Amino acid sequence: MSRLLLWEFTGLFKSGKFVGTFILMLLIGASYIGIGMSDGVNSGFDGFIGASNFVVSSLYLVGSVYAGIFFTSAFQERMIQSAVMAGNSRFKIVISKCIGYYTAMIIFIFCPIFIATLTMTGILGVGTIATGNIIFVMLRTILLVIFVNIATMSVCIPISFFSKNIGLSIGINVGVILIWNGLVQSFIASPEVMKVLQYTSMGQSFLIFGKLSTSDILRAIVVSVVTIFTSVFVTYIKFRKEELK
Amino acid sequence: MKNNQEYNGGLKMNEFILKVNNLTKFYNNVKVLDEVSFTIQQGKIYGFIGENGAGKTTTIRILAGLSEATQGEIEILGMVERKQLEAMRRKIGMLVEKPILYDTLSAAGNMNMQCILYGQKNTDIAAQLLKKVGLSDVKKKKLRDFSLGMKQRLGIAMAMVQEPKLLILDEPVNGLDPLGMVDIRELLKSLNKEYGITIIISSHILTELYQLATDYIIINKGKIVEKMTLEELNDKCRKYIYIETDETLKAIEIIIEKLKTENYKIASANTIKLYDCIDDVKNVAKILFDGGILVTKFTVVGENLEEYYIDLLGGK
Repeated sequence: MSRLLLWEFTGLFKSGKFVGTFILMLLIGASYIGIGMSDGVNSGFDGFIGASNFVVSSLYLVGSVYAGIFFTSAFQERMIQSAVMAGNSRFKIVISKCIGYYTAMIIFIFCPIFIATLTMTGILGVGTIATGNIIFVMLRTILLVIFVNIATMSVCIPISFFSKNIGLSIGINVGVILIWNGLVQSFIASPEVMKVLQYTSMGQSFLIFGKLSTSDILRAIVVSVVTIFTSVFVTYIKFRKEELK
Repeated sequence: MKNNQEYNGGLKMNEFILKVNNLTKFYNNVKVLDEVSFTIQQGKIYGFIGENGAGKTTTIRILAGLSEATQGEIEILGMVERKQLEAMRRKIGMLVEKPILYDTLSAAGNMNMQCILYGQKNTDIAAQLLKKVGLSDVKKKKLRDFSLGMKQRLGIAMAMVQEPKLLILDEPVNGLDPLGMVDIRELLKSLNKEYGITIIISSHILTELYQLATDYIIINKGKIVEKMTLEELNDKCRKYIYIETDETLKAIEIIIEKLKTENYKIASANTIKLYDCIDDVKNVAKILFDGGILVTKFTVVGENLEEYYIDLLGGK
C-alpha cells in the first residue's frame, strides 16, 4: 500500500491538472482578500469566516470539474490499469486513488483560506470573539470545513468511476453538487427542511460556522464519515470486478 | 541487471512458469474464449497468434488482471488463489496494447514512476534498461517528442523494471516501420538470451513472429487450435512443388494419371501446390511438358508460418 500511495502522490504532484487547479484556488483565495476588505471585513477572524465560505463555494464548481478530470483521466490514461497490472488489489487502488483525491481537496481548501486569513490578519489584526479562544475556534472551524467539504466532494468519486467519460463525469458532478448546494441554500431559513438536510454533509457545511455544541460537532463528523464511507464503498463495489480497457 | 541464472531465481529451463486451464469468457452472452488451455515454459519465446477478435487480447487482459474469466483458472509460478495471483503479477512485465506512459514526463521520469510502482529500490536499473533499449541518449527528452518506436522500446524497458520472470507483450510491433520491427525483435531476442526471460508475444504479423518465437500458440474464434514448437512448425511446413499454369485442370489430370498422386492443392485459379515427388522434380517438369502444359513458373518452396496459419484456418 505504501508504494502505491507513493506512486499516487508522486503522480499527483507532478500532474498539470493538480498544479493548474491549485493555482486557480490560490487566485480565488487571493481575490477574496480584495473582495473581503472592500466588503467591510474588519478583522482576521471575520476574513477567515468569509474566506472559508468564498473558497468552499468556489470549490463546489472547481472541485467537481477536477474530480471528473482526476478520476476519468486515470482510466483513460490507463494509470489504474497500470496499478492493476503491477499486482495491486482493486481495494487498495480505490483507497489510494481516494486518498490522492482527498489530499488534493484538502490542499485546495486549506491553502487559499490560510493565505487569505494570514494576509487579512496581518493587515487588520486577528480580532475578537464573544466566547472561547479565537485560535482554537479557528482551528476547529478549519478542520470541520475541510472534513465536511471533502465529504461533500466525495459524491463525485462514484459518479466519476461510473461515468468514465470525462465530459459526462464533469457535467454530472457539477450538476449534483450545485443542485445540492442550491437546495440547502434555499431552505437554510426553514428549520423543518433543515432538520433533514442537516444529515447531509452539504447541510453541515452551512451549520459549522455558528455556535457549536459538542453534539453539533459530533453530528458533523458522523455525517461526514458516513458520506465518505458510502462514497468509497459504492465506488469499490462498482470497481472490484470491472472490465478495464 | 542480473545475469541469466541470478535473474530467474532458481527457475530451471523448461519449468512451467504459467498455466492457463480451461479459460472461458463471455461478453454479453457471447463466448469470446472457449476453454483456452496452454502452458508456458521458462526460457522460451511464445508467439501467440490469431487474427483480430480471435481472443488474444482477452486472454492477455485476463492474465494481466484487467478482466475476469467467466470460468477456468490461471496459475502463475504455482499460485492460483486471487491474492497470490495479484502478488505474482508483480513478477510479470506487461505491455498490453500500448505502453502506459506519462506524456508530460521524460523517459527517465517515466522509468522513475515505474520503479516507484513496483517498489524497485535499485536505482541503477532504470539507467541500465534505458541503455539496453537504446534510449539513454534521450532519457531527459519529453515523451511528446518520441516516435512510436521509441515509445514501444520505452514501454518494454518499463515492463522490465521489476526484473520480471515473464514478459507479456500484446502487439508490440503494431504500427512500427520495418526498422522499428527489427529493433524490437533484436531487443526481445537479447532479453531472452542474456537474462533468460520468458516472453509471450501476441501479434498477427506472422513473418515477424516466425523470426522471433521458439514456440507457437494459435487461437481462432476463442479456441486454441494449435500448439507447437518451431521444430514442429518446420516439420509441418512441408516442401512442395509450386506450379503456375493457365491450364490447371489439365495439369491436375496429368499429375493424377502419370504421377499416381492426389497429394496436391489448387491454391488459386492458376497455381497448384504438389506435395509429392519433391525428389523427382525433373520428372514432374518433363511429364507436364510432354502433356503439352505451358508452365509459367515451376519451383520447389516450403511453407512459412503465414501460409501454414492460413492453411490451418481453412485457407481463409
